[in-house]
Amino acid sequence: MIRLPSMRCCSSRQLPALTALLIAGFGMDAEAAVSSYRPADPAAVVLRLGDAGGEQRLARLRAASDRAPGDVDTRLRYVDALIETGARSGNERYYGYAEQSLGDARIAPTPTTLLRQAQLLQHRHAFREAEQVLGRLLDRDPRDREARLMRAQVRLHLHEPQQSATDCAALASLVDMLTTTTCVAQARAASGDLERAYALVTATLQSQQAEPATRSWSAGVAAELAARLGNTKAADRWYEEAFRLHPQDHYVRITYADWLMAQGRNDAAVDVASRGASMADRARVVLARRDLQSDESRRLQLAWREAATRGDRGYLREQTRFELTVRHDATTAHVLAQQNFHERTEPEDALLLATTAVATGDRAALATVRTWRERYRYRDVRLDRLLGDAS
Amino acid sequence: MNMSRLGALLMLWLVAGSVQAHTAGTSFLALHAQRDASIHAAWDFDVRDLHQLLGLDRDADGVITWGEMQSRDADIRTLVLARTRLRDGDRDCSLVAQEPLALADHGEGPYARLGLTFSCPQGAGQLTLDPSGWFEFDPGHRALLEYEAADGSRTQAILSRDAAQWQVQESHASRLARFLAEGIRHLLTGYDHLAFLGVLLLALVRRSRGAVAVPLKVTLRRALGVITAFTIAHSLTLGLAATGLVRLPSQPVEVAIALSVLVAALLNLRQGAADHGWKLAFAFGLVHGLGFATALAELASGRIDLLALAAFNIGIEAAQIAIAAAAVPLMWWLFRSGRSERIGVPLASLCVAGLAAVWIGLRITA
Repeated sequence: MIRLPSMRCCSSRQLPALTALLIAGFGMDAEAAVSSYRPADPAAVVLRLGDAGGEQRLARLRAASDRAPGDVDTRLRYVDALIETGARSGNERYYGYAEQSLGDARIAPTPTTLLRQAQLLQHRHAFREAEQVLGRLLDRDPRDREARLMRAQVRLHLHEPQQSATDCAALASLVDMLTTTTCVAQARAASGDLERAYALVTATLQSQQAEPATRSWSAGVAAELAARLGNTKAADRWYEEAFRLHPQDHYVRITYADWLMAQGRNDAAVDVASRGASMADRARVVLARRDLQSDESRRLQLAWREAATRGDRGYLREQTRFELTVRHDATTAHVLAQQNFHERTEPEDALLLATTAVATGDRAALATVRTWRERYRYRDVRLDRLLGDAS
Repeated sequence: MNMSRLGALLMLWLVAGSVQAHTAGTSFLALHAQRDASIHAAWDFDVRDLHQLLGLDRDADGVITWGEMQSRDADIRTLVLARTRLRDGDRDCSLVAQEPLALADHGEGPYARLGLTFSCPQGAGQLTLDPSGWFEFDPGHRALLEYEAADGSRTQAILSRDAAQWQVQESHASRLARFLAEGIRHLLTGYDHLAFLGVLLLALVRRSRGAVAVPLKVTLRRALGVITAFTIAHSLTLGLAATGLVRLPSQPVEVAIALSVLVAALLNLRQGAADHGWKLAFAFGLVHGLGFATALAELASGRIDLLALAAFNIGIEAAQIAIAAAAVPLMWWLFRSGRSERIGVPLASLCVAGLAAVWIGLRITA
């Protein structure tokens, strides 16, 4: 992750809010905060697994893997099922299970196990390590299209668009045209050439057929580029298409819900986010409903406090938005946004910090975001507006 | 690999860029040290993790019910105890009581709560919690520990794969305070020691026939002498026993302590008992010291150091002085007249002697 050393945290007037946050986060008495109970009815539902078929499949694959602990193929089938479940549900623990299962010393390293290892490394944002593993795979087999595509994506996260574009170009003879052009479009967008990137991906989307998952990905990229260009109508259409093609995908779902909320279509956002059960889905339902008091809202706030206690900063985005739009506490939201930007400096984090900086009149934070934008040549009309220099 | 697979992976890779709200596995481990050196644990484990390891959805309908969890109660306990170790020095604490399985709703969803009581004979000073079995299962797992010491002080810790164990870190000051408090508590709740002290103090107001009451100041000075003699004596044997130089079985020691109370009480029946107060206190103090050593050994078995020994002794001494400071003026005032002294002191002593006789009987037959 890229961190900006000039980041300044917490002016004197923010200290009370920060103190309150720390007390809320670290003063938790785990046992006292959550009381126990015993349902009277044995049929009482404790947990809905969400996907009975998927869970059954996982159980079968786990059992098969346990029966043949040294069998790489059997283990990989189980690992893949875990990763897919994690991607579908948005529940991180499945990646942990997969990582552990893959790390079993009895499993001999093969190109496929290394690829999964790289996949899990990039998932937990160990991008440089993932790139190195993928590099070894591509040295061995330059035509490994999975490794090539994955490295192109990883290099985007490493803010290396030129290298990413090289990998994308090498995909041309290995995968379908839509995958290649979407990859190239992402690399161009990362270099600041939004218009050509958008034109490329939309033209290919309109002319090429592809399976739903690939098309959904490309539509999602087109939607994001349209939103950054300020073309709300087109963004709306592409986001809707990405979701329609792959509604069960966690990322597509929450991205679409966020877009709908940004457009003020909160009821539609609730409908979309309600299809999932992850923390991110639940947070979006609460945010869209402006829900401060319900049991679900309280559970979510408890989850954030528990996350803070265990040192998990992954919820700061949602928590910032909650403070800003539900609790209407811009000062606390800004403290959280600054903490979040200290941890992660992706476009969404910059947008969030700029939003809270505008709300609190923190010019220094706006200058920090401006520096970030220039450093990464990031273009987004929404960010430009917040920074007060829209063309 | 077919294109469908590549497409599916594309969706996964996108997630890395979005940095979602992560839901890493978490367990909540609360430990509460009790005064009797046992540890009460309230451990919460995510039902999803338990399901992943045990397959709780027995009918495979995608729903885990309370009945399904209860039917796997024993498996859940076995799993939890295998992956969450509570050690006492280099030995596992022994499980002495279990509460029924319960649920606790944390922010991320339902958790199974296990209420457990462990016996850790070395006390909280050597306690180690090791939940590393969970990190083997999920490298991203975090265990949130909250430890409440017997004195009410609290400690929180986050355990992860890189910091998989937690150990009680008891400071010298805390250890000193603990043993000091235990010394005071042991004397105040040790009825035989209190009875012995009582009859020794009663002896101070016992007078020879026709003698007048000595001034309170003199009585207080004698009381200090008696207490000091008792302290020196019990410190000697306490030190010898606590360091293992003298080892005696507890039953004869307990009988001898009760016998000392009986003898001291009976000696009060004759007039002029005050004359031999400090000698008696010293002689029987040697026996009481062996009893204190047993209590100290239970508190800190195997780890009795000079600090613990001194603090425990100072606690006993402080409690004795406090009792004497309150009791001696009261006794002096009650028995300042010749008649009240002649009747009251023997009567009170006889009562204590009777009690001591009962203790002797009980301790011999125990």
